[in-house]
Amino acid sequence: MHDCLVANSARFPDQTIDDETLLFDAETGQLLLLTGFGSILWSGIGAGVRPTALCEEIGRRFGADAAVASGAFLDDLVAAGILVASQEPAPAEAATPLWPEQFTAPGIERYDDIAKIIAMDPIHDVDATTGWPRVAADKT
Amino acid sequence: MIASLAGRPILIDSASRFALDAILPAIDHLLDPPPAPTEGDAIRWSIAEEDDAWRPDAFGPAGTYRIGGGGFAVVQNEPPSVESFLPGSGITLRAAREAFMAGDFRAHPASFALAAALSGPGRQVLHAGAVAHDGAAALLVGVGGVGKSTTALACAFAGADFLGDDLVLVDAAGPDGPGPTVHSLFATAKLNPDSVLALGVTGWTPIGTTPKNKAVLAIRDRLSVIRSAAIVALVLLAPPVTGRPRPQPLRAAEAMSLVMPSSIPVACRTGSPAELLAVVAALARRVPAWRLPLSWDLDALGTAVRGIVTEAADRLRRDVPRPGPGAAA
Repeated sequence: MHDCLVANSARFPDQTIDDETLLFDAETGQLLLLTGFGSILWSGIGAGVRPTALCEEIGRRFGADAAVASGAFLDDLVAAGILVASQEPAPAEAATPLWPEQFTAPGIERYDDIAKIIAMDPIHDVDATTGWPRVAADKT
Repeated sequence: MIASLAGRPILIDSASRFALDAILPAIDHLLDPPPAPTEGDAIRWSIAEEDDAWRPDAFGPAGTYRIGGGGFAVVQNEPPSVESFLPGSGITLRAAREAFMAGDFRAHPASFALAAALSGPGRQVLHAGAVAHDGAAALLVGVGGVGKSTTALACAFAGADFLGDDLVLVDAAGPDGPGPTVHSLFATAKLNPDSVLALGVTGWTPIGTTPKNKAVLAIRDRLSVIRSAAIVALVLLAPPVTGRPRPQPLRAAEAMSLVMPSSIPVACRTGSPAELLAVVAALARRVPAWRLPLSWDLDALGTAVRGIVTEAADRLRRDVPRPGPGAAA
C-alpha cells in the first residue's frame, strides 16, 4: 500500500454531504458516489491520514475483514486514478475521522449515462496557433 | 434593448427587427421593470440576422468549441446559427432567418452563451424548471422529456408563479448569504401534443415547433412569470404512476446525484463541472429534496408541488434538518 495518498482533485472534483461523497470525473463525465465506509476513508485520506494507519485503525475498531475491505477499496481508488501517491509527508497529527458505530463495506456507485451523452457530442478545442474558428487538426 | 438578469444588465443590440421580435417572447419579462442598480458588469449581446444563403461553414462542423481566453461557441447547421461567448466581448448570435423562426431557437435563444456569461463560482445555469408560491420556489429537476414543462405549467395553472420550464439560473449563495435563489431565463415552455391537450392549452398559438414536435408557448401573456425567488425545495421528477402522486423525501447526496447528470452537459460546455458540483452541493446542503412521481392528474400534481413548497418553506423557517443517510426514501 502507498505510504501517502492524495485526491486527484484536478480530474475528480468532489463534494461530501452528510457523510456521503460524490465525485465527478472531468475526463469521462462519470459521476461516482462513494458508499458505505467510502466517505469515511475519503475524509481520512483528505485529512492526511496515511492509508496504512487508516486501515490499521479500522482493523482495531471493526475487525480484520473490515481492514482488508478498506485496503482493497483504497487500492481500487488508486487504480482508477482517483487517489494518487504523494511525495508530501503526512501531517504530524492528521485529524482522524469520526467513526460510526458499525462498519459498512465501502463501494463506488458509477453513473455513466451522462458520459455517453458527452461522448456523442464532444467539445472541440480550436487550433492554438490560428485560433478560432479553425478546429485543431488533431481534435476533429 | 436593455434587459437585466440576476442584477446584471444585458445590453441587446441588433439591426434586425425580425431577429429581435423572434427572441422577444422568451425574454421580454427581463426587460421590465427597468434594470435596478447592478451587481456586475453589463453583458453585451449582439444579434445578427444573416441572409438565407449564409451557412456557418467557416466556423467548422456543427458542435461546441472552446475558444482561447475562456470563451466558447456552439455551431449549428440545421438551421444555421452560431452563438458564442467571449469574456470581455460578450455574446454574439448569428443566424439565418430560418433559425430565428425555429422553435428551439425561439424558446431558448443563445441559451449556451447566456449560460457561459452568467455562470461562475456560486452561480450556474441548471437544466431544471422552477415555480414559486408566495416567493418560495421549487426547482423541478429531471432528464429531458420526463415532464418538467408539463409540471411547471400544471403548477402555474394551480396558482404558482412561473420561472422556467427547462433552464434556470441558480445562485447558491454561501452559508452567510441570503440563501439559494433561482432566476428566470426564458418565459417559454415546450410541450408535447399530449401535454397541450391535458393542460387545455390547445387555443394558445405556439410561437414555434421543435424538431421533436413540441409546441413552444409564450407564457407571459397567459400566466404569472416572475424573475427571481428563494429556492426552498428540490423536486426530482420521476416516471409516472397511476393515482395521486406522493412525494418521497430524498437524502442530500441522493438529490445531488440526481440533479448533477441532467445539468452536466450544460456545464461542460459553458463552464466548470467543479463549479457546478459546488453549486449543486451547496443547494443540496441547504434545501430539502423530494422525489415526485408524475401523474396525468395535473390538478393533483400542482397540489403536490404546492404541498412540497409549503412544507419546505415551513421546515426552513423552523430550521428542521433534512433526513440523513439511511432515512427511508
